[in-house]
Amino acid sequence: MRPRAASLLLAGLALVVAPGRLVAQSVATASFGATAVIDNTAVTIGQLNGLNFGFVVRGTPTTIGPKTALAGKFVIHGSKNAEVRITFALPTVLTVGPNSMPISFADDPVAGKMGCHRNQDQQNNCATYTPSAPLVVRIRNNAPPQNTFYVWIGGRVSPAVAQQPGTYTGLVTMSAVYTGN
Amino acid sequence: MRLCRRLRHLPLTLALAGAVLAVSPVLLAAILVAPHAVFMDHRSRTGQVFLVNTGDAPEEVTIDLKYGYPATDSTGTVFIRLIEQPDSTEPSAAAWIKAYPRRAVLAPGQRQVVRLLATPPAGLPDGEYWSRIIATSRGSKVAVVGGDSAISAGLLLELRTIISLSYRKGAVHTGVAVTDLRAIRQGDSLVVWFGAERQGNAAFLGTLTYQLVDATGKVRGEWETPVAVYYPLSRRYVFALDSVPAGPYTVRMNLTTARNDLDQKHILPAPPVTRSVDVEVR
Repeated sequence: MRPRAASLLLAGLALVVAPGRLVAQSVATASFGATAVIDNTAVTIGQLNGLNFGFVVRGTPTTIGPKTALAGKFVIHGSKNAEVRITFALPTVLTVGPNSMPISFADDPVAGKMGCHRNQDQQNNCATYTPSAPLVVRIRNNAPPQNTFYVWIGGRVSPAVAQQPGTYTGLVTMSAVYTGN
Repeated sequence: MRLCRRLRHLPLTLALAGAVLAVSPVLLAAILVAPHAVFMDHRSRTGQVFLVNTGDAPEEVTIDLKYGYPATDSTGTVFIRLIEQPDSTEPSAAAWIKAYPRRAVLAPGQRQVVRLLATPPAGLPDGEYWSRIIATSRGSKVAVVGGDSAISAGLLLELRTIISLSYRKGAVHTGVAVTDLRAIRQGDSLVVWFGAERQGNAAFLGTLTYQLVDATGKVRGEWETPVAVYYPLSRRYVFALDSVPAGPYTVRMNLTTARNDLDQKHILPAPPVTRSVDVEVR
């Protein structure tokens, strides 16, 4: 009875904390307590915040640093202490139709490195790195939902003086690989 | 055994994951993949993977299988070597295991079971065959709305989760030979180089434990890490020494097949391996 009671308590907590997530909540109330199973067999990668430059000005580069509120934010939940290799495939241009705009994730003289990581949600204390490089890290050695690893990504777009109007987009692929180590 | 019993409830308990993630801030896009290691055998020739959209937007998920295994580069960093066209000497199961469905669109909170079906070639020798399962999800679009003359910029996101698949036929056995163990102090860290080779016809899945022992025999530091040996590897581990005082130490290494994150029925037994090496902390 104890694990079931714990799961119901957790489900109730979910209802209180996240009232907008009705689907997940409704199934949670029907579940049985076995958080260790989830902890040990599931991996989730999610985006908490998109890297969105919004409106930009012709001829004026826009930089978003990885330690700013506008940075892209990702979280991985997984097996405690499991090793994960995180890589990003990053675009060099954003496009709309035939038009393109350069984007860079290289180290910036002012903003510094464009990636940042930490096993807790502490952006101010995250360790910076160059996001085009692979990151081999370990999931935080805690029980759910603290079995986490966080990554923040910034970037810089450089619209030309004669940049054509439009919503420019590019594809970022984030890979999380369980190494088994 | 306790874990085995729990795994029978995996479909139900996946729902709990949704609740756990619901406690977190809103996820724009997120896919849960479980389990993180799939084991199949020649008797049932079937397996399954669960996908759950734990985000707030629909996600299109595709499943691919590719042959691959963990390897290390010259810096001792691990990576997954994916091989598109493995030759016949490689123990690849990627070509003859299929996923159904290979593509699904999941609404927020929706769960999808992906069934794996093996059709191995006739006369397949006993042994373990490997693949990686790649779950790729694409979801939310950039929501920037401007006038006709506005310029805006955003990024689309694709998330890839890569997990292991092992297919076992007949007699499978494993073991490991430690080929290298070195330890040095670098700054405020202990750097350990560990080399190993697999024995037998199945990957060695285990746990590596290091103890830092001082001259009196007292353990001043201990670190534990899962380890997987498919092909020869040379790993570099870095551990914080924190407040360990200067002096002569011994690094004791113990390698066993214990794994906390895997169902015990999938663990192949092998004799433990112990080694030690001296290191000076200044």
